[in-house]
Amino acid sequence: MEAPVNSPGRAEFRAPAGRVYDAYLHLLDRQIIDPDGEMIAKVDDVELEISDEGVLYVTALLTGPAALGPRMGGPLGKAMVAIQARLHGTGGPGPGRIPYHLITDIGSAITVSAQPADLTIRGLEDWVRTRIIDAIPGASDAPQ
Amino acid sequence: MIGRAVAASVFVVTLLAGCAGPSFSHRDYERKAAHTAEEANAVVQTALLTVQAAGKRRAPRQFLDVLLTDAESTLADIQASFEGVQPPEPDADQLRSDLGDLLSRAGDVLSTLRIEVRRGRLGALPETAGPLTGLHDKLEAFAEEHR
Amino acid sequence: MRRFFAITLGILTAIGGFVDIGDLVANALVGSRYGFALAWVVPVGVIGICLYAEMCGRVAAASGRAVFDLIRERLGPRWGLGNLTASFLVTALTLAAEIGGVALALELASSVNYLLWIPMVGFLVWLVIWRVRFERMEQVFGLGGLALIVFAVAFWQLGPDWGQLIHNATHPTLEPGEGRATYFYYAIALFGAAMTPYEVFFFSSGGVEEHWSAEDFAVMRSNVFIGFPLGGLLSLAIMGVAALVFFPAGVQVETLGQMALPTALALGKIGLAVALLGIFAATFGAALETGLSAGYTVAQYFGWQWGKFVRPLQAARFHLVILLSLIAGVMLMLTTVDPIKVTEYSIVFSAIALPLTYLPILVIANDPDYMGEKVNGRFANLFGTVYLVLILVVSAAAIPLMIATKAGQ
Repeated sequence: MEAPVNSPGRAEFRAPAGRVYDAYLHLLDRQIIDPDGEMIAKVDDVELEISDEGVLYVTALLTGPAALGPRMGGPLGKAMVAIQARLHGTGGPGPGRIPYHLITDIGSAITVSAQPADLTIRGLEDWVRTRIIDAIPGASDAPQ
Repeated sequence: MIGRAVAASVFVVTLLAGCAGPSFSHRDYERKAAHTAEEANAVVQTALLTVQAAGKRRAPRQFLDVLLTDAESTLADIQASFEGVQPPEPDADQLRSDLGDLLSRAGDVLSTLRIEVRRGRLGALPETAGPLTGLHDKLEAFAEEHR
Repeated sequence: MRRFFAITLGILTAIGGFVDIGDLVANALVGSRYGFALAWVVPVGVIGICLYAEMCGRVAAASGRAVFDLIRERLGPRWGLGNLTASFLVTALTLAAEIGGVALALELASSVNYLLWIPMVGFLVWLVIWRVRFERMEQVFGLGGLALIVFAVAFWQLGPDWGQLIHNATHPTLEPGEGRATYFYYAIALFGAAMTPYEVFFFSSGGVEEHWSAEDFAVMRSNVFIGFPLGGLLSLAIMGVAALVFFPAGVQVETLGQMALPTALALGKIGLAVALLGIFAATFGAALETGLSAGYTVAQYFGWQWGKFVRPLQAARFHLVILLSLIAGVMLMLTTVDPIKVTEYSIVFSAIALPLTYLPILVIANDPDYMGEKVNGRFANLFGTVYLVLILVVSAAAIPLMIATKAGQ
């Protein structure tokens, strides 16, 4: 991550007055949760754009092996990207994407206002759930 | 990187631990014999303690069974390991047969103990284990002498 | 009154839950081989785990996040993955050892070979994790572990010479023929057994499972500062009976049966039965904790939903990791490798992996971003740093000593 970014008045999110967020410190590798505290994913990478004034700003949070792989680099990173590609076919969906405007809070975790529409985020979880866990009796029972 | 170093170290350690190695000199063989006697002595003493608990009705049959069976098989392993080593020159043959004799006698007693405990004859155990006390002394003396 | 009950229950659970197969094996082995000459390691280890468990509990209560969750943020994804790999492997090995310990305890009670128990134990551990409520699970097996107090009773009954004992503990001397290197190797093993990484992962994740908040600080601290030291006393009792019965005879404890034998000699069938119950509860409880910890570490690195506080359907990958870890553990033990040997290796590898766990905790506990006002005070930082240095020394010395002493022979 090159430059610290302000979280400017992007859509609904308002930073506490005067607090500058550093994408590297406060966003990357942080847990993303929904309003109920349910865990969604980690911020594996961020999507950046350059504004007209030449300031870098964050437009989305990226998750999944396709996001983490390139960041990890090295043979391991390449392997992660390759696995994702194999599972989804060539030219796969790429990293899971959570638009920045969904963020409602940045604390010890990043809270987003709603379940992101991008289904690739839930890909592996859904696969494991339907193929394996669902088959075991008691999987849908109330929290134990 | 670190993972590979750890794996290599583990591999080396396992190799070292697993090597019985030939006995090159009489002294080496003598030390090996002494070490074997010590190990066997430990097994014999554990058996004696186990029988002590049996005699005082302080342990149930299942527990005694496991301990005595373990003792018997451990001693058998120790004996097999020792006898698998090539004695250096004919001088060492006496050493080999002396220790081998002690180990065999101890092994016989442990086998009998194991058979009796499985038959539930717990009361007879202390008497059967009688010879073990003498064998314990002899093994200890052997280890001392050849240390 | 309710509060008093809650605190007492917490303390009792912590005492009983402190000991696992690593502690059982390490303390008995060291007691039989060195008498009381390594007794000093236990308090050193206990202080260390108290210090860091309190930090982890504070992290969980203040930030609502578990420790491993935050390790990736602090170390970055590459180092975090390295940390995850090492921590997971050590935890998985420990899990296998605990499964072995449960099977050995069942063997001693039934004389049915432990190998036949292994698959059943693996299944039962999974079933309890799947079905039993977190708090209930902790309480049942924590309180069951209290049965290990019988070792303290047996120690008393065996009539130790207290003067001699204290002298030996404070003036450690080596028997002729014992090397310094082996002595320190076993010191490291004993230290590793007291400070196993999974304990802190579990403690902080458990804090999130039970939704700790600022109100829970008092209970958490009493569990740690009263419960763990008393658990340490249980460890010393196990060392003590081995020292009284086996050390004079020069016999090294290498089986679980030998470890339990002193209770039979001192207290008879009832004493032995209580001891076996305690061993079963302690190792089964530890199997649950290591199984869950295997899931916690992986899920918390990748950001997956984890925990028993949600339906299994909502934490599918987490439960899959636990299932696979249990299967791997069972398969390892079915290769007929000696469970005691597996335990010995698991505690030495724990000692090697300690810095990976404890350095990030110290850093996180000082970060106001997560902790708010509850950051480390000077006391925690001073002692935390001292222990970190100790941990680094231990970790660095472990492999050379293991090679030099051929793993303690």
